Amino acid sequence: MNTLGIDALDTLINQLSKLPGIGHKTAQRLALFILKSEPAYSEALAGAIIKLKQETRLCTRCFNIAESELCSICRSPQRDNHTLCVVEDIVDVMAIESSNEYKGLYHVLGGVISPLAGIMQNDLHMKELFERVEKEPIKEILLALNPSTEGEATMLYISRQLKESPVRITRIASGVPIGSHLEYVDAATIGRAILSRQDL
Amino acid sequence: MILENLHITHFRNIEKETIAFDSRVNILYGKNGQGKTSVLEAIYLLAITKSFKAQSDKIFLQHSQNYLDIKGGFKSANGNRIEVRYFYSEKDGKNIFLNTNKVEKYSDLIGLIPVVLLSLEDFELTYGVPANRRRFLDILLSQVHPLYLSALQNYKRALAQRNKLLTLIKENKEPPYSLEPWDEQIVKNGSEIIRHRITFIEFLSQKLAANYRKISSLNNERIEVTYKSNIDDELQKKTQQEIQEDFTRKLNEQLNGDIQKESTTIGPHRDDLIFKKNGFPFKSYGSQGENKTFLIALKLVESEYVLQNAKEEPLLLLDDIFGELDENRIGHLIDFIADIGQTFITTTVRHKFENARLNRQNFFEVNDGRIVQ
Ligand SMILES: Nc1ncnc2c1ncn2[C@@H]1O[C@H](COP(=O)(O)OP(=O)(O)O)[C@@H](O)[C@H]1O
Ligand SMILES: [Mg+2]
Ligand SMILES: [Zn+2]
Repeated sequence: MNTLGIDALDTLINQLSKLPGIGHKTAQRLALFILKSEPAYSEALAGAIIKLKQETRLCTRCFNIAESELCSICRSPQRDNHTLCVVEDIVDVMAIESSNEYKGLYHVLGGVISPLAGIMQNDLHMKELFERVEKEPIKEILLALNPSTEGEATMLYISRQLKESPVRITRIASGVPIGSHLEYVDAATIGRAILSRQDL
Repeated sequence: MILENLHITHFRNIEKETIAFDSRVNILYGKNGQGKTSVLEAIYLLAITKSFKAQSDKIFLQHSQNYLDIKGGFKSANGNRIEVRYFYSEKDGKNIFLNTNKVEKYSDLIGLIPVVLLSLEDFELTYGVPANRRRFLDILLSQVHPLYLSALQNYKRALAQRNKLLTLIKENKEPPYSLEPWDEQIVKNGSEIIRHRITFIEFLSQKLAANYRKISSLNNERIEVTYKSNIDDELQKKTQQEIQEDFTRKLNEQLNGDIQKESTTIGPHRDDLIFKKNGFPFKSYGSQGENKTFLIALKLVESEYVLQNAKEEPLLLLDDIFGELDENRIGHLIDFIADIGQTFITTTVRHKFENARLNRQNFFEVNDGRIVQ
């Protein structure tokens, strides 16, 4: 790896290249951009990163990002607490929110079941999901996991576990291309898919 | 689909060549080791994104060069021009472009340019292991049916997950019921795979005998093809629903054995094709000559299947396979093949094609990596 032997630069490059989707080359470019930018910019960037970690945490109910114990969606009286949308990750909450079609609550699993990746149901917020189904006035669970093989298996797992429960289980259907990830699908497509969900 | 022109740079022994092809028949002739097969390999790379000979790009990158570039200009059935480019460099690896846009998922490209290949390597199809015959089915059906390709990808993925889980169950780290969602996906996608395979094999059974007679002088041979599955003997008589039920039942029956072996023993990944002549399997009784005739017939049916089911005519790549046929038969065969799709034939014996109705623009001489019409 080519380096100029400047410790501060190498440390930043090393930290940046840990970000998802950032390789060593991109990390180098970003680090040099920061190096050349106004001091105010690098201070603002560093401050924003620190603030994000200090002032946010995971919602204790749905595992979305939150500023206090509960996230703004869980706290909002405007949301329909009879519907629960199950997603893989926080980015999926963001994607679905941007469609403005969904008014219910969320549950973020934190991943999907994948024995090959060493992730089983107990490694996800699965137990918490089933507890919510018992305790909260939920009537419908909308499964919005990515339609990968693992996403499909996780949705099947959830629907089998809730077989005896009276809640209606649906999944977002048409429009979302097979194998594409929710976060890359445009808001209008997600909106249509949510409106035309199917029973499982 | 018609391949109108092909640009090859630094591929195998080809330094830099541009070839303008005939829209029906192209005969590439020359001595051994001149680069004929390499031209077919380059065409195949553009269509399938992988070579039929080499596992890694380094092997076909011309010695002492650091990049290779293959560009094909195609014309589709509805008149659209399509450019596919295969670019490999030691620095950036392999990149494929469709109309100058980088292709992110290669599976999106499969089927755009359907190809049927018959090369000497295919002779393992009848004699070799079942995996060869499944590969034959998978490559063909993935090109024609996008649903087949996605079912196959999901099936393989679910199978890998299931096998991993079997290990965890054997080690008492997971309960057996955690298999359920994977089994469901294996059954759903697996029966989709089986359905397409059976439909193709019915088509194959109907057409094979007639095609065999086009090539063989023996007229009363009885050629049969059957699909052999470890799920059930007579799957072709069952509905999709019944196949799913049988598959699920078999998976459950084999569960304990599968846990012990840490692998899944039931399903289309273990299925096979049986070719028979006059009631006896080709695999054990066919002579080499018969085998060759049979394979040419098989490839003709394959081409007809693509023609009927895909939106595009296939490109036919026939590598050095006409050696034993006489000139008259070759003439008939070429007439027949040219009706199926644009054809590329390599040969060391140009004169065998004198009886075919061909002109000078159909012939290309390949000599030490140079190609001249
Ligand atoms: N990576 C490579 N670089 C240079 N030459 C190669 C490479 N790979 C194969 N060759 C040579 O290319 C020639 C062409 O092979 P091939 O296309 O199979 O010939 P043909 O089909 O005309 O008999 C062979 O002589 C082979 O040794
Ligand atoms: Mg050859
Ligand atoms: Zn919340």
